[in-house]
Amino acid sequence: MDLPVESGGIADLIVATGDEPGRWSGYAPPYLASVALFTVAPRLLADPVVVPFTRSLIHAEQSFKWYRALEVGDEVSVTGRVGTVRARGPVHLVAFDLEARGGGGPWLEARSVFLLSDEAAVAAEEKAEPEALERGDNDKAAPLELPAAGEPVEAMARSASRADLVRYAGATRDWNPIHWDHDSARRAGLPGIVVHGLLMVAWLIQAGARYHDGPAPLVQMRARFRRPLHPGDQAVVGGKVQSVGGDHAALDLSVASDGEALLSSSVWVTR
Amino acid sequence: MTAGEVKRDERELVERARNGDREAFGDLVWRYQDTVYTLATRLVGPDLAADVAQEALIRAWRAMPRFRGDAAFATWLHRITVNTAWTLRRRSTRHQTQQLDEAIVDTGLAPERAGELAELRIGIRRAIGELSAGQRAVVVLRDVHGWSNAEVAHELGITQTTAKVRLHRARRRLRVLLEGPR
Repeated sequence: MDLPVESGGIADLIVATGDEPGRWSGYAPPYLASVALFTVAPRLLADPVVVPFTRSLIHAEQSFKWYRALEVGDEVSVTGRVGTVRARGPVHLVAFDLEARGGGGPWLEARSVFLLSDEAAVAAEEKAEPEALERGDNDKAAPLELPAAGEPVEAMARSASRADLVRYAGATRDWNPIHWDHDSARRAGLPGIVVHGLLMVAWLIQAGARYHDGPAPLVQMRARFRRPLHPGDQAVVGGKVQSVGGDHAALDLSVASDGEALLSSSVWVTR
Repeated sequence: MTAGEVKRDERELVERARNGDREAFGDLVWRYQDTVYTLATRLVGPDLAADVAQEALIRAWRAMPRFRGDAAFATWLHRITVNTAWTLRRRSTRHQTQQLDEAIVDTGLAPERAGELAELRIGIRRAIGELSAGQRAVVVLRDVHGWSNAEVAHELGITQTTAKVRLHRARRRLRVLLEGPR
């Protein structure tokens, strides 16, 4: 499948994720990766057969590896395939692999892994639907000096409204109704609408990108989805520098809300 | 977090996972998946390693309620990985021992030193790949993962004497492979 890198689409994605419009001038932010994923994966990730499994998700993670920066005007070719479907009784493991080329060579590799169970999870208590524009704080993702290994990174507030989620769905083509329709989210066993997991991954990428000015700030990342976030709720991206090497620094970053980790990640930042 | 706190934290996670807590099991997967994958790579090579690691995690989740805590969780998970590796390798026709040298990790060292180490690593992996399956299992579990002779023997269903003999022969063969004939 082809994915044109267009300025309009990039601008929508940047606004929907609460990022700084001036940060990526002329280039695509690394979280365009989520658009690439949904160019080829909607049939898998939003498939009605797979979606009900999310009620009893045991483990889910997403990894991205970037090889170069993409410029506006580049053409990207995306290839995806279901790498593994393994079933043992009620337990299933589904892995989805993606490769994308653009800007004259390989751009991205991605892998999504889900460990799922047929066994029904306990239905969550209902959460009232927030107002369409209700959201918490969003800090500027301003450039920062990299702290030493073991030191904390500066926390970055992030939140999304229901309107942001619709904007993000439009920018990424991730139209799974659990992100915009309360009743669909309830039927999927959730307390209500939830923020897209990959939108929170974009927040992790933005937090990491504060430590390198260029258009290719990240080498790779791996994120584990632990709990959902609801629109309007305040989240904070924080963590620490795990190690600093010659070419890159490894950060342990998480998205947390009310003191509970929602996403854990390892992010390798270019030096 | 101190080492003691990490142990307590892990005991809690294991207990919760035994009782079906998915998030706790996910925490354990996040913590141990790299070591499971590395062990699988050493046992069966990179082509089959992802399959072994994934299958091992499924088996671990299903066996979790029966985990009694007699051994450390990591040891238990490694045993499941070893068993899974043998089962999948028997089924697979894709296994190629010479592919063991493909999974080289970034060491974060100066380029010339990193280059030497990478070369040495390739040499060792190639040499381990030359061993028989039985010898390779013993040397990986004993010398790479630090299992005791008793643990290796128990896991592979052989006597401790056999484990020691295989280890001795494996090390001698590795020495020849790495240094060349004298």
